[in-house]
Amino acid sequence: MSIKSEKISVRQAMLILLVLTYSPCMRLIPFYTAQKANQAAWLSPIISFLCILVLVLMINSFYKNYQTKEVSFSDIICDVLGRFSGKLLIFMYIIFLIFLTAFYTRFLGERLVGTLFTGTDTRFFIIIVLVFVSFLLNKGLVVIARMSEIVFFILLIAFISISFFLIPNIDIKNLTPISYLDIFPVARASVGVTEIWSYYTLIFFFTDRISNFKKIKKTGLQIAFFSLAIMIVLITTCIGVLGSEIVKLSTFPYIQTVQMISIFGVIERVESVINLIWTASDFILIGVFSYITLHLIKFLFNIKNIVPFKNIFLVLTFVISSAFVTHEFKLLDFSVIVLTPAIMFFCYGVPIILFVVGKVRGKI
Amino acid sequence: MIFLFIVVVLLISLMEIIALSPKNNKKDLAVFIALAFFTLSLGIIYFIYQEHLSIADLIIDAISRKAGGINP
Repeated sequence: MSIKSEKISVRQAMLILLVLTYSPCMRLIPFYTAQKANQAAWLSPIISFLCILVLVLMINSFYKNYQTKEVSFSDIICDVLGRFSGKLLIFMYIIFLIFLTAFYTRFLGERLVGTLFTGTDTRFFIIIVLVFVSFLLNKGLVVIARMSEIVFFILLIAFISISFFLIPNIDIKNLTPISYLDIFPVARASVGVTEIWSYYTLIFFFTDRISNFKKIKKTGLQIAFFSLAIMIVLITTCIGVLGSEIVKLSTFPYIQTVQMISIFGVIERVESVINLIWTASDFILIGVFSYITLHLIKFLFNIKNIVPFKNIFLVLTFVISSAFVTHEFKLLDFSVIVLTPAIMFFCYGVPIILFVVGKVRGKI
Repeated sequence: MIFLFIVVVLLISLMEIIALSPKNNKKDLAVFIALAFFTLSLGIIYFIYQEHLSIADLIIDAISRKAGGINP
C-alpha cells in the first residue's frame, strides 16, 4: 500500500491507540457507565483494567512464537484457525471495520453540526474529513504515527488542564454512596470501558509494520495503567459535575461538562478546544481504521497494489455513513445495541477464541 | 451533485488501477469492480430513499426480530 512499507515503533503504535481511543471514550464512556452504574460508574475502569491485562498478556503470548518473523494479527488468525476459517474471519473483520469507520465518520459530522455548526449539512463535514483521510492514507503509517505523537501531547495537556479546572465543580454527592450493591452494576458498566480498550487488538493488524516487537508486553501494560488513570478522571469529572441522571440523558456529556468551566469569569466556552482535539482524534481514528481495512482487503484478496482501492473505500464509507441514521439519537442507540457487542466480539472475543484454539492445536 | 462526485471518484480509481499495473492486474480489477458495483448499488439505493433510509434501523430491526421482539 502507499501506505509505504516503513516501520513504526511499538511506542508510536501505542500512541496511535491512545489517540484513537480518545474520541470513543468521550462519546460512549460517561453515557454508558452512568446508565449502568449511576454514581458508582467511576469504579468501572478498575474491572476493565483487569480484563485488559488479560488481553495484553494473551496477545503477547501469540507473538512469542512469531517474534522472528514479520507477521500481522491476520497471519496469526489464518495460521491458528486454518486458511478457510481464517479468511472468513478476516472478511467479517472487514465488514465490521467498514461499519465502524462509517459510524465514526457520521458521528464526527453529527457532533460538529450539533455543537458548533448548527444547521449545516452533515455530509459537508463527512466529505471534508474523507478527503483529508485520503491524503493521510497516501502518506502512510509513519505519518499517521507522527501525527498521533503530536496530537497525543496536545490532547494530554488539554485533558489534564480541563480536568484540573473542573475540580471545583465536582460534587462528591454525585459520586457517592458506594456499597457492595454496586458490584454488579459496576461490572455491567465496565463492558463499555473494556470495549473501548479492546481496540488494542486492532492495532495488531499492522504489526508487520512495527519494529522492535519484544517491548509489546511492557508498553501494553504501561498503556493499560495510563488508560486506567485517564478513564477514572474522565468519569469522575463528568458524573461529579453533572450527576449521573443528566449524563444518562445527554448526547455529548463531556462537552456539557466542559461548558461548566469558568476561570474567574473571564475564560469560558472552553468546549471549542475539546471539539478541536476531538476532531483531530476522530481524524486519526478514521485514518487508522481505513488503513487497517485496506490492509485486510489486501491480505484477503492478495492484492498487489491497494492504492486504487483507497478512493473507492472512502466513497463506500461516505455512502454508508450518509445512509447510516436518520437522526443523531439513533447513533447512540446503534452504538449501545449493535456496536458494543460487535466490538466486544471482534476485539475481545476473537483473541480468546484464538488463544483457546491455538493452545489446543499447539500453535501458541 | 454528490452522486456525480461518487461516479467521478470511482472512474479516477479505475484509471489508477489500470494505469498502475497494466499486465498482472486481473485479480485486482475483479475485486475493484466488485467493490465498485457494491458501492454504486448502495449509492443508488441511498439517493433513491435519501432521508428514509437508515442502515442502523435496518440492523437494529433485524436484531430485535431475531431476539423475538416486536419492532414495527
